[in-house]
Amino acid sequence: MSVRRDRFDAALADRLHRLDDEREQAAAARAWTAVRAAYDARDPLAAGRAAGGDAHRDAAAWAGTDGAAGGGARGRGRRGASARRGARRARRWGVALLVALGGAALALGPAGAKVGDWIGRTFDPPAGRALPADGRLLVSDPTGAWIVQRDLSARWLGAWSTASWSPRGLFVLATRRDLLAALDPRGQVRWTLSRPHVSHAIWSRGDGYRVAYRSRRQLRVVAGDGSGDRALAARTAAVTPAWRPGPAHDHVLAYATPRGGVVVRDVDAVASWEGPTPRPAGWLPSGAPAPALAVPVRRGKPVRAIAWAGRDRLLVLRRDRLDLLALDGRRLATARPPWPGFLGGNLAVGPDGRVAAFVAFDRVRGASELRTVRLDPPPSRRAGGASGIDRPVRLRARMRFAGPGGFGEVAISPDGRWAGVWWPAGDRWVFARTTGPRRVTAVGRVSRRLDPGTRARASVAGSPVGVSGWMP
Amino acid sequence: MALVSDTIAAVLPLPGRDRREEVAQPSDRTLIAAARRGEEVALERLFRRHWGAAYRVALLITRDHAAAEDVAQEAFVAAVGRLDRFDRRRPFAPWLARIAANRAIDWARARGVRREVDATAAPEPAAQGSERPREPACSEELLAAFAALTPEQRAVVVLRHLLDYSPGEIAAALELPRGTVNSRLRRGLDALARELREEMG
Repeated sequence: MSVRRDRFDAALADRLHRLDDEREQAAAARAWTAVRAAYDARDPLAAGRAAGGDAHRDAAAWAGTDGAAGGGARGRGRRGASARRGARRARRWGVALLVALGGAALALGPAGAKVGDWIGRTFDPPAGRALPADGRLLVSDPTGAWIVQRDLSARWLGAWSTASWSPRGLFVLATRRDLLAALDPRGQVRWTLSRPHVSHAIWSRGDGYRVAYRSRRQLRVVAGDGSGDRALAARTAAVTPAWRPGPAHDHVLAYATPRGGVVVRDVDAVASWEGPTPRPAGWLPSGAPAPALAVPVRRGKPVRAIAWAGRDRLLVLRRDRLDLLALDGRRLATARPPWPGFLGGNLAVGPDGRVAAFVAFDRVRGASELRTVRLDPPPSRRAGGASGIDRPVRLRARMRFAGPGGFGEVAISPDGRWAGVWWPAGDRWVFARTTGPRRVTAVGRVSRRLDPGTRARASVAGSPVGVSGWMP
Repeated sequence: MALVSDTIAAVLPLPGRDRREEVAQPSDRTLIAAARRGEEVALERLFRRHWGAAYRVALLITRDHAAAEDVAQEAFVAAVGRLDRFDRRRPFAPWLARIAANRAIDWARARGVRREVDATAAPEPAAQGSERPREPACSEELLAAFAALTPEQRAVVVLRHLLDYSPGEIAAALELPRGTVNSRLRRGLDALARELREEMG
């Protein structure tokens, strides 16, 4: 019996060692991209600690590694607790010491230049200036993504192409070519997903249990912990999808199709959703297992941006107009620009759904405008409930700021009173009041402050720098 | 630095096969120290050295190629994130294997309870361009046989017979009592023997 077992064990070991999977090497190439990204995005303070010596190494040894192991219910080990406490103390002292040393080195002269390389990545706040509202900005520039505090101090998250907040601002969703990653606000990578040509990633509102993103033309959805990645639609337009606000478990997504349609789907439903009305003739066929709504195709008018205005209405920014749509596809209101050659840009809706801001570009003048729209309260807030949706809605876009060249992404402050936009030609973040009299404030020399090395590139070429989000 | 993706294409060593080559190679400890100083090349060598083991551990536990890639990748990303806190006196490979095994177990457990999105309307994309791999040689039968084991049993069997760890080392890596390791190993091997009886005699 024992001999037979030994023979089986040996045969199994031999077979496991001979296991030949050619996907392994292709996976290695893809994974290395993610690993190198995590390595690049390492906290420079941590790297400095490691390079500067192992004074607190013993206290920190193995501390925190259990968390990385993701061991779930398996033993976390009491032995790690005291070591972690020690590590935290050592880290605090280490950070304080290094910052003090770095500041002294910078003040004393060229000898501090090396240290200054990473200290220089911290925003230099202009005296007496601050963001006009509480909250943290998530911004992108040619060097990567940054979190900017109200006092304009900033932290570099790493060399990511795009970034967006999680629902409560606890994490950041970042993309770079073939990689989707979830980061904490320090830039540490929590999970990654390698897919070709990742873009337009956005975290679901409410519980944050879903993430939608595009991989090439395909729309995909993955759970908030990076698991369960699935395709949702084969061909979509290059527009960031929009999650419907509402209860935590609500995972309804609106996305644009290449022919100018908009589809709304419950990503968790499996062929069980019945739309509020039968699909009228001539509407966009959903082609999907669980369509909730299909908005009629408007030929030649591609969708530029989508945002929810409450739970029952959608704002759809097209090349030539801004539409407010009901869930059954009816157009409730439209705002058109007063000039020809309009190109819809970015769109954002305030936290309470009462105000929206969007960027428009006038090709004739070569100028952009930041406009805001005041939305009537969503039907659920009115007396009469859903019947309020039938009432006429005014949609009047007010110009808040105009400037030469293009504008970047737009974001609305957590209190809904300010809209912020990146203005590359002026090298400024411009903030305009969303309601009431026109009022504008700005933070200048942005690219120089974020990264001195890329000043020329950012301000001359108008790189795709943007304000990706504003979070309490 | 040259594109590492190109250099990664070099054959990834199997654990236990390249002991003679390793003699001339810098140790993990040396590579970790260099990586902590900011030498990306050192990290790349570490990655090349241990990717195969991490991937196979994850593959045999999850029985899913995409999940194995994600799990192994996350294990390395987690390792990189804690590089500066890593005790260089401790061996790197068991630490990495532990991360990969634990994450793979979590993934396998979650798959059983997760309500996934139906995506029958859209085809799964090729992982990278048109390089959809051909049918693997002999791994599918082995993966099918591993289905008879629980994820926890798979982890123990894989660490024992793929990475050649002793039961004591497995117990330390997974933070399990040694008796639990032995019982999972025995039950797992019994189940595998039933599944592979015809094939392996």
